[in-house]
Amino acid sequence: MKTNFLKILYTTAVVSLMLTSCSVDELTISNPNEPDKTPTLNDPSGFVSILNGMYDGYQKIPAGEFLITELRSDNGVSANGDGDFGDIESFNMTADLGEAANYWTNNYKVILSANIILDNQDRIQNSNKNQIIGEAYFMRALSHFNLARAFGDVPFIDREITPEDFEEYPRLPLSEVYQKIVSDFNAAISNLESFSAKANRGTAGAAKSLLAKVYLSAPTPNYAQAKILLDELVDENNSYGYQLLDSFENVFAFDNELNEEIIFAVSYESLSTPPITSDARDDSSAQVQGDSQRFSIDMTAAGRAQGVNLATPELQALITAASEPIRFPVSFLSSTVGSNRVENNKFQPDADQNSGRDWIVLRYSDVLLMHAEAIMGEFLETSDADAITSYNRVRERAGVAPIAGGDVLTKEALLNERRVELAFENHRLYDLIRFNQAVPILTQFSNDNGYNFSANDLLLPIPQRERDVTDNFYPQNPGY
Amino acid sequence: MKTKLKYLKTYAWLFITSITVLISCQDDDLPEVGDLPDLTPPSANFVAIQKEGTTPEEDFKIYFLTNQSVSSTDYQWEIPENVTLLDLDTDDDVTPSLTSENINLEFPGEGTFEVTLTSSDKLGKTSTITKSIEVIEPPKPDVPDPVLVNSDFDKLPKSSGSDCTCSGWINKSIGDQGESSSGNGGSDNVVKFDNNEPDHLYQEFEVIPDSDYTVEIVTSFKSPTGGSFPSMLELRVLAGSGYTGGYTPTYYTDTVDFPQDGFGYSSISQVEEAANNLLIQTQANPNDDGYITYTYSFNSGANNSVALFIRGIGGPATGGGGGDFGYNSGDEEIRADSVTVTATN
Repeated sequence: MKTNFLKILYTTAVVSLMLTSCSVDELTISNPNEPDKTPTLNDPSGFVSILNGMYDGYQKIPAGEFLITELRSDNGVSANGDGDFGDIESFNMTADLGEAANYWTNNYKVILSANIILDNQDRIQNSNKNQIIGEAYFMRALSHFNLARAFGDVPFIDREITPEDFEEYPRLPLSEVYQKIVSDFNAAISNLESFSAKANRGTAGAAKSLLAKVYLSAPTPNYAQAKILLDELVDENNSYGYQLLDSFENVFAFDNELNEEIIFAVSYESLSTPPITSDARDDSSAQVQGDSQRFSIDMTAAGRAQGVNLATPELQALITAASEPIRFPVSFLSSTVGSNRVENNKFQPDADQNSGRDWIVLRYSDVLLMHAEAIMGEFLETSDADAITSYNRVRERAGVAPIAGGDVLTKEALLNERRVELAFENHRLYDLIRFNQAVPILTQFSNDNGYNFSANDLLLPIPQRERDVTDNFYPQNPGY
Repeated sequence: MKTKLKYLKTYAWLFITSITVLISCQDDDLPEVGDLPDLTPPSANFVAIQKEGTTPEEDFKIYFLTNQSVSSTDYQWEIPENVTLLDLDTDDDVTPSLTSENINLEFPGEGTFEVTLTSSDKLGKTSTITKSIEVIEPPKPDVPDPVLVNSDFDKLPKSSGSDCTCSGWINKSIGDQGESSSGNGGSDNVVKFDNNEPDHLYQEFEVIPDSDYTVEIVTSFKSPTGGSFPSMLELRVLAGSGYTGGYTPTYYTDTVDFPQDGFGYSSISQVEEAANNLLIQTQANPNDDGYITYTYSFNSGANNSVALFIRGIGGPATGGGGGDFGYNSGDEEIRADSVTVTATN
């Protein structure tokens, strides 16, 4: 009898021990595939490789960014409303939205590359050490800015971390995230000021332009700081050589990429072979579509189930051949106008499906319109001559009537001008949010189209995947 | 064997007791058979977003209230009596009610209003939150002061003819120019509306539409002569909308650049057209020949340009000492030392 009792005791003890040993604290597993970075970090060309890897990582971002910006606004719609596209355009997104997860991952990958450079900056031997550091700060700031606008409070990752470190990086209040973004862009400016580079790398001019946008987008906008930065840039003789091209069409011309109007762009090269598609997986020379410039083809009838980011009827009504003689043909593919599906003409594939078309992140007319915005500040209108001059420069280039001296520039006019000038360039949704117009305008848009918009749709869901692997460490955004 | 069973019984008893103890620890008041505890009770929350329209200005009273409750399926809003529930989507069949998930409200005006949301789940658990919504009209930017040239009536060069305190203020189609004079402690520093003459001042300037402005003018009347035509000074603000068709004003900065004719107003009938007047004020003789400050105000309406027109009146329509414009000043001289227009912010 005693033995039985002991047996039971013993079994209980073993089971308890087994249960206890399941707790995570002491369990460490080393990854045998973890690459050793030491040789790279000891080689001067190593940092260039990491830098290139950082830009390479950023090339993935434009592939999906339009889906969570233009499609989530009143500008873009998909041909068939399938899957994620339909969920986004009709404001029926859920926590497992694939495009939200992609955006999260792709931006944090860029941040990882930037952090490897910044953590090891003492080891950089290259003569352009400061440029490498500056570009890392630039990209870390830009990716966090992307994340903050898309998800709201986000972890600001300021060093190379491993998955176990996640609890050190909770979702930070948005105002703190913005402070850190400002600080990174300022570090980028001071490191990059004495270097010049093409617009497909981080430069001091691009950092100033983006920092101005950060100031305007912050939860408590800093219009005065934005204006100081923009005052320098809107000068026709600005030291960065930025200018408004005379021809709107040439801004987007394939043989004129990285022109004087482009402040920051993601460059792509044309592929010699078509991107891989589901029926061509055995072609080993084909580039995997997800790694390439895929947005051009996706926006046409040849891609993504007949095209996504087509013009909404509302956008077509705003930009007509009569009202916008110059911007209409550049914005819309003429062969599709009048049908239900109107394709964007700014980012059409250059030849076949092998597009090497750059993605423009920021260009000079945006800077001019931000200048007017910074001067208008918290008000709904301005009669300031400098604001009107900057606004009119964009209008006049587009061949539409400028506003007369003595007239006021209203917030509504400025918002509409941005919509027309920057259509399909992933600005509309964040413009609406920055101008405090997202809820009224998208509510109306949603009602008109039978969609399901609420203010909660202005933030993407924190990817369910990220919450699952962190035991719901990141609180979900409201409404998901 | 029997003993073994006895132990088993003891364990079974202990087990059942423990379970019972554990179950009774739940705070569910009266659990039914098969009930599970509500581990995810509702937590009410919402945000209120102001429409902050661009136009019309009434938009600021409209708020979008968006539910942000967790683990909730049903909603009950409570709003103050003077607040209106809006149906922004009149095309659909859905009429918003205070049990909708999201609601849109129109507040009567500025002020603080309490809105309550009670959210509940299908187990009947509820959570309530009350928020104070402070409705504030968005600020308007300060309107800049308009620029008048030679508003002190100094003796300055004209585009043609001799220097005059009236430089910058001449429109030959609707009156004779004022005359250089001295007074108020200076010399060649005031403009004179001579007696029995159609002397005037006219200048166009830029304004911000729908804004309030203050006009301040310092004038002096000679003592009444006691005649039958006492002089009066008339001041008008004329709307840019009344300018001659196709006319675009030019805002000169130097008196020497001002033309003396060919402005937006080219006849007295045009001046006297009621719809063209944003302000008409008439000064009678104050029986005090000192310099007195008069203050008026006007609203620019839909205009981005207006003209200030000042003339002496009170005399016979014709037969005065100057040109024939259908008006003349009366028996006394009038002088003006300065005129300013400022934005009323």
